[in-house]
Amino acid sequence: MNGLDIFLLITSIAAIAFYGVWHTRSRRDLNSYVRGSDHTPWWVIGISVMATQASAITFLSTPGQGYLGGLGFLQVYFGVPIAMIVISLFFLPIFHKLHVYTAYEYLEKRFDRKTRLFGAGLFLLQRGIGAGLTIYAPAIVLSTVFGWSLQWTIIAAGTIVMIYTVLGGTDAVTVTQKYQMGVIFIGMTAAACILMSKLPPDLSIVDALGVAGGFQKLNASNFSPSIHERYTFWSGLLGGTFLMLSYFGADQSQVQRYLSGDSVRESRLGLLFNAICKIPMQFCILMLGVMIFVFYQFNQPPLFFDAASNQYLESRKGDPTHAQNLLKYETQFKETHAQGKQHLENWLKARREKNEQAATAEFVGAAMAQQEGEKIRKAAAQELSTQNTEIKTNSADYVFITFILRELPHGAIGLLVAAFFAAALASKAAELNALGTCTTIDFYRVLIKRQATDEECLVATKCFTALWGAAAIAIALFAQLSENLIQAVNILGSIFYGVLLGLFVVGFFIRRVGGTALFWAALVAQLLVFVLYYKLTISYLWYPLIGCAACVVFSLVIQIFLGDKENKVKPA
Amino acid sequence: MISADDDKLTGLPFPKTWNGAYVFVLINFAGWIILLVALRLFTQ
Repeated sequence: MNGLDIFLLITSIAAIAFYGVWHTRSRRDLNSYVRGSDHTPWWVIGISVMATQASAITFLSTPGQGYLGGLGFLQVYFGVPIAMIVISLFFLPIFHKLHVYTAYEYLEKRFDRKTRLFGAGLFLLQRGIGAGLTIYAPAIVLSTVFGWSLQWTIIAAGTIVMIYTVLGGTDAVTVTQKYQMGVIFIGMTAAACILMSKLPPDLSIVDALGVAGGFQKLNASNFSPSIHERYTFWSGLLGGTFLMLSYFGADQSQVQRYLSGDSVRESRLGLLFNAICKIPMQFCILMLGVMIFVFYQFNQPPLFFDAASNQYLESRKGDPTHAQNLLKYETQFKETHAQGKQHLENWLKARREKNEQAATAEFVGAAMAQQEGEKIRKAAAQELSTQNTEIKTNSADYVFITFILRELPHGAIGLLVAAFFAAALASKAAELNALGTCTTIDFYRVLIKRQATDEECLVATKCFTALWGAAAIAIALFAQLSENLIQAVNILGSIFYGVLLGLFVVGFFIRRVGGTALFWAALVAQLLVFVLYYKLTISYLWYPLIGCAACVVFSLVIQIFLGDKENKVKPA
Repeated sequence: MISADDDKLTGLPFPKTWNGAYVFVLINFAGWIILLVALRLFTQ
């Protein structure tokens, strides 16, 4: 990064953060700090909901997911449109009518205190861990770009986000997310335009799609009925609907965003905006990764994408005893890539000459060279891990940042790094805001100080937000991820979200079940999900559905045993 | 004063009713599925 990049990074991030704090300087009461100004228009709510979900991980790791696995990951989002319609119809009117700060207040109004605490506890547990993982992503960017230690980068990034969130409150989160999404949009568009301009001049868009399709990178609709395949149309539509229902309907970090609207109309339009825009947005981000894959078929990619592995390789180049094997792999990798590139150029020529037979033969040759290249990469990664056990090669998270640093001009690099930071701040601020709010409203005001004034609750919310920020940093420091980042976050949510959703489904639709039955049902269902997660090898997208269904069925069964002694439906 | 009709209207030029908005979302989703299937079929 040069001076221009650093200038763009610092000015864009600092200006937005300062604007957020300045804009909300007059908000000093609990209601405006927690719920916002009540005048947020629907399109700002829509952007806020989108920015909360789309963290730095989305923009950093998803292109890598597209590079390695193609468009298949898009199927995770097939549940968004249906989930948004269900939330708009059933969840939203109830939350607005009850005028709640947190979604879990509803559980006490409908059932009892222990059910509310259980729901809020599940949220704090999974979102608190998730907050650690989402700090991890921008820290990778920084440590890669500047060569800083990952630990100190996590501490620095986490502290900046924490200070900004504590000062801001809900309104500052919403206001800044609007501009942060602007920076992200400009940065990602610039990257896409530069990438397309760097593809070979005789390669048309149709040819590029042909290359991607030939390498199986455009399979975004897998209709396989197997529950063991991670991303299929069915796991996305059924499992994904439950995952998104839980996330948007029962996760306070999202509920708090759309409750900042002053009417059901504003909140509902904000949700439907996401129902329409989420799939196209993810498609574009994944397609960026697919096009980087096409780019690297015509340009030499590095043997390793992740910075730590590359740095190790570079540092050992003067040491023939250690580097001999790795350098041998690097040479083989370059030769294989050159063969593959030659085959693709011949394929293009044959395509122009409409020689189908020759074109097919050349593409088969290119595919074989690509497979050979991947084998060499794997063998080199194994060799590397035997030489240095601290290095964990996880290419997907580093593909996009490596492309940015190697191929983009200065200015664009700064803009993209600013976009990652903007995304990190946007989602992190919303998460910490929700964690602080939930801890105060659902635990502090219920268990510790029941008669707390609004002023005391405001101070408590700020303190708890800071504490959660510190906890997130600690979790990020100890995070050891074997999964790709974006998948790790989704897997974590899938384990907890089903039961959380089940609490609300029973509350909204099953009047005969009371609080005690539901509480024990939720506890057993959560244990069942834990056991199944460790015992089964099914796609993680099915767990929200399993957790929700188990919670509903168990609550009905337990209620039968308990009989009708409880007052099942409390007046709201 | 808010009439019962206001609950059914989106306040947008299109779609005007909430039911229309939900149908619009579902048609948009179906359109994406068709596009993705077509992309897969025509590029292999």
